Amino acid sequence: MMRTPNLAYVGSVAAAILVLASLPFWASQAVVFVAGVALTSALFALSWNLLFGYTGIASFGHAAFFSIGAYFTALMLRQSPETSFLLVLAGAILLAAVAGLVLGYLILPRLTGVHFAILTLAVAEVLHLSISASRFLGADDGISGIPRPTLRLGVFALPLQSHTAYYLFTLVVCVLFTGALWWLCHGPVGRVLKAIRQDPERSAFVGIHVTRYRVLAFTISAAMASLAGALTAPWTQIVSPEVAFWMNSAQPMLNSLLGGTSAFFGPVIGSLVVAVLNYQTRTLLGVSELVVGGILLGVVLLAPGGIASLARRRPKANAGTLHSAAADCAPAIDAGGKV
Amino acid sequence: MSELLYSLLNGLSMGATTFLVAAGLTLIFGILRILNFAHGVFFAVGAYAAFVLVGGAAQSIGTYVLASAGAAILVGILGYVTDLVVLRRLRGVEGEYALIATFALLLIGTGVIKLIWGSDPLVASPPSALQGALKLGPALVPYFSIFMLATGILAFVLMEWALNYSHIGKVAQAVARDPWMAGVLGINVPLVMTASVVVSFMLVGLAGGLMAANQALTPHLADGYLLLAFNAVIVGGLGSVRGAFAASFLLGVGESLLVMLLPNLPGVPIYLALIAFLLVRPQGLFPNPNAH
Amino acid sequence: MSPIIDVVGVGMSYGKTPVLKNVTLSVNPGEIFALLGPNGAGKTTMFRVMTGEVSTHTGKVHYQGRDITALSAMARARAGIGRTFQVARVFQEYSALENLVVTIESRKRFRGEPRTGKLLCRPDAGVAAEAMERLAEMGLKHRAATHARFLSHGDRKRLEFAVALSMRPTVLMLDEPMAGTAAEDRQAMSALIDKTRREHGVTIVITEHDTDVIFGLADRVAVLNYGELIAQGMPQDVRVHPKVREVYLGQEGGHA
Repeated sequence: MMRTPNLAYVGSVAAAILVLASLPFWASQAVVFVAGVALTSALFALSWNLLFGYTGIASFGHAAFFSIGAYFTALMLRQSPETSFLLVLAGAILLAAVAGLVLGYLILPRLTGVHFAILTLAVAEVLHLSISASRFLGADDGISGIPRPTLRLGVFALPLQSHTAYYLFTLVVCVLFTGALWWLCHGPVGRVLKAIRQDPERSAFVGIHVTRYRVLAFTISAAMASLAGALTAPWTQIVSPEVAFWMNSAQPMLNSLLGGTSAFFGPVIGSLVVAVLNYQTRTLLGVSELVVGGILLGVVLLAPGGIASLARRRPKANAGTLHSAAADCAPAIDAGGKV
Repeated sequence: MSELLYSLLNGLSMGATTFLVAAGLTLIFGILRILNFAHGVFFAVGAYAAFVLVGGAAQSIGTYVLASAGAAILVGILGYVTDLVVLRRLRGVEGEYALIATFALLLIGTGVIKLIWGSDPLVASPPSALQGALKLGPALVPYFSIFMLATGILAFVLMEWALNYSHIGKVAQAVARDPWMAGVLGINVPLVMTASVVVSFMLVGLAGGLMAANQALTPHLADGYLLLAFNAVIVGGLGSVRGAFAASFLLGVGESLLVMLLPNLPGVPIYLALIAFLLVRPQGLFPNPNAH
Repeated sequence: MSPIIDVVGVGMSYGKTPVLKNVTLSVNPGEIFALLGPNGAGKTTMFRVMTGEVSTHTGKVHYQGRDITALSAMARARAGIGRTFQVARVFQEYSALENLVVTIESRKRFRGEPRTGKLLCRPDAGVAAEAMERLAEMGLKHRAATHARFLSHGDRKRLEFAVALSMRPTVLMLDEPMAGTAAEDRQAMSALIDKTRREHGVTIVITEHDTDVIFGLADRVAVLNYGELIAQGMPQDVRVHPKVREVYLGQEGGHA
C-alpha cells in the first residue's frame, strides 16, 4: 500500500512486460493471439477490481461497458476508417465515462449490495438485448471483418494490420493505462477508496464524500472497461452480442478473484492464468463454463484472497477464510439496507 | 380483443411459472440471506430431467405430472448437495462473495448441461390431454396455460398455509427473522435452513419439469426465467412469498402485453421497468421488516 | 459568550415510540459537556441528532450560530464536529499510520490546505510528519506500522482519538469513551480528555454512564429521562437536583 515498491516488485513487473513484448518473436501465432486476449482481459479485470477490491462495490454487469467500447470501435473502423484510431479509442473511453458517470450518479447514492448487483445485471442485459435486436449493429451475428487500423501520428503512419504490430500496440496501451491506474490506486485517491471499502460510515466521519468517490471510481472503471473492449475489437476482428452477455461480466470477476482482489496486480495474474486455461479447454463444449465456474467457486470458498494471498509470505490482514475476511470488517452490506 | 385476452392469459400463465421459480428464490433469501444466482440453472436441470424421465413425449397427464415430480425430487437432492457443499459455507459471509459463489454455481451448472446434453435444443411435447385449447368467449385459451396457472395458484396457497399456519412454517419464519435467537430457543437452525433450501429447489425443479413440455430445451433456458424470477423477487420484496406472487403475475402480464405491443424489443421494457423500480422503491412491494 | 451548539425543541420518535420530547440544551465553547441519563433515556439519540446521524422530526440544531439541522453527518464532520464511537472504530486493514494519513489527507482536501508533492503516490512530507506527531502524542509511535485490527483495545481507542483530532475539530463528540475501559484506565482516559480540551481548545460533548468520572470531569451536564431534559447545569447543582436524585436513586456514587 504505502511501501516503496521494492526491487523484486519492480523487477518482476519489468520482466513480465519484457517477456510479453518478446512473444511475437519466438512464440506461435496462436500463443500471441491468446496473449493479446489476456492483455485486454487483464485491463478489463483491473477495471472491475478498481470497483470491487478498492471501493467495495461489486458490479455484475461490467460487460456493458466493455461492449460499448467494442461496438463503438467496430462501427468506427468499419464505417469511417479514415478517423484516427487514437481518436476512436478516446471516443470509446469518453462514451463509457459519460455512461458511467450518469449511471453512477443515478444508482450509487441509492443502492448497494444485492440491489446494486441486480441493477448492474439488468442494465447489462438491457444493453445485450438491445444489441441483439439491432439490425444496425448486426443483430445476433454482430459485426465482422473489422479491419485493423493504421496509426497516424502527424507525418508518421504506423500500420497495425499485422499480428505483431497490433499486439505490441495493445501491449503499449495496456502498460500505459495500467501504470496510470497503479498511480491512482497507490496515491491519495486509492487510499480514500480503500477507506470507503473498509468503513463507509467512518469515512464520512473523516469528511470523505463517499458517494462522489464511488461515482469517480465507477466512471474510471467504466472508461477502462470500454478501452479494453475497444482494443479487443480489431484484435479478434469480430464483435457479437456475446460481449454484453453476463458470462462476459463474470470474466473480470473470476480473473480478479483468482489472482487476488487485494493486490493491485492480482487481476492481471488471474487473467493470464485463465486465458491459458480457456485456451486449453476451448474445444470441448461446456468445459469452459465448468472450469471457469469451478475455479471461481473454489477460489471463493477456499482462498478468497486469491493467488496473490498465497504468494505472500506474511499472512495479510484479509487473507485466509471468508469468515475472517468478513469478521472484523465493516458491517456486511445487507440487501435492502444501506451502509 | 381476443388477442388481448390471449395475451393476458398467456401472461398469467407465465406469471405462474415465474412464481414457481421466484418462490424458491425468495425463500432461500428470506432464510439464508443469500440471493441464489444459480436458481435458474436448476430450473433447466428440472426441465432436462423431466424430459429424460418421460422419454421425449408424455403420454398422459399422469406421466407428465409424475415426471415433473421426479424432476422435483432430483433437483431437491441436488439442492441438498449444494447446500452441503456450498451454501453452508456462505452463511454469514460478506454479501458480495456469496453472490459471486452462486454466480459460479450458475456457470458450473450451465457447463454441466452443455456437456451432457449439448447445445442443440430438445423439444418435448405436452401430453395430448393438455394440447389444444379451451374456447373462452372470443379467445382460445391453451389448456396448458390453464394448467400452469392452476399449479401456480395451488403452490402459492400451499406455501401461504405452510408458512403461516403450520408449525414448520412458523419455525421457518422464526429462523428467518433471527437465526441466532431461534438457535437459542432450541430450534435446529441448520436443519431448518437445509430443509428450506431443499423445498425451494424442489419447487424450481417442479417448475422446470412442468414447463419442459412447452419449451424447446436449451442450456440457456435458465437465463430467461432466472432474470424474470429475479425481477419478481426484487419487485416483490426480498424474502416475501406474497410479494413474489404479486410481482410474478404483474411482470408476467406486463411482459406479455408489452411483447404484444412492442414485438421488436423483447424483454427490454421489463428490464427498464425493473431498473426504474429499483431506483424508486428498492425494498419492493412487500418490504421485509427483517432486513436489518 | 454564545453557545457553540444550540439544540432547540428537538423531538424524535421511532415509529410511535417517542424517544425525545422537546429537548432544549446548549453547549458553551471550550467546555466539557456531558449528556447523562439512564438507559433508554434518549441520550444516545440526542447525541446522534447532534452528529447528524439521525434526523429530527421537530426542532433545530445550531452550530456556531448556523442552522445545521439539515446537514449530513459528513458535512458536519467537515464543519468541525468530530466523533468517536463507543466501540472504537478505525479502518481495520490500515495501519495506525495509514489511518491518520487518510484522515489528514481528507482534512487537507476539504479545508483547502495546500499539499506538496501532488504527483507522488506517497503521502507528502507534511502529512506524514503530522501523522507521526499525532501518534507520538497518543503514545502510539511504536505501533505506527501495526494493522489496526491487531491493536489492543486501549490502543485502538487512542488511535480513534488521534483520528478524530486529526480532523482539527472545533467540537469533539465522544460516545461513551469509558465503555469497556477498566476502572484504573478511566482516570487516564479522563485525563486525556481534559488535556485534549486544554491543549487543542476543543469543546467536548460526552455521553456516558459512569457518573462518578463525569461529575469530576465535566463543566456542565444535562440529564435526560424518558426523552425529557430534567436538569441542565453545573455538576454540583445537578447532582443535588431533586428530580435527578429521584431518577438515580439507588445509583448514588455511580458504579463501582
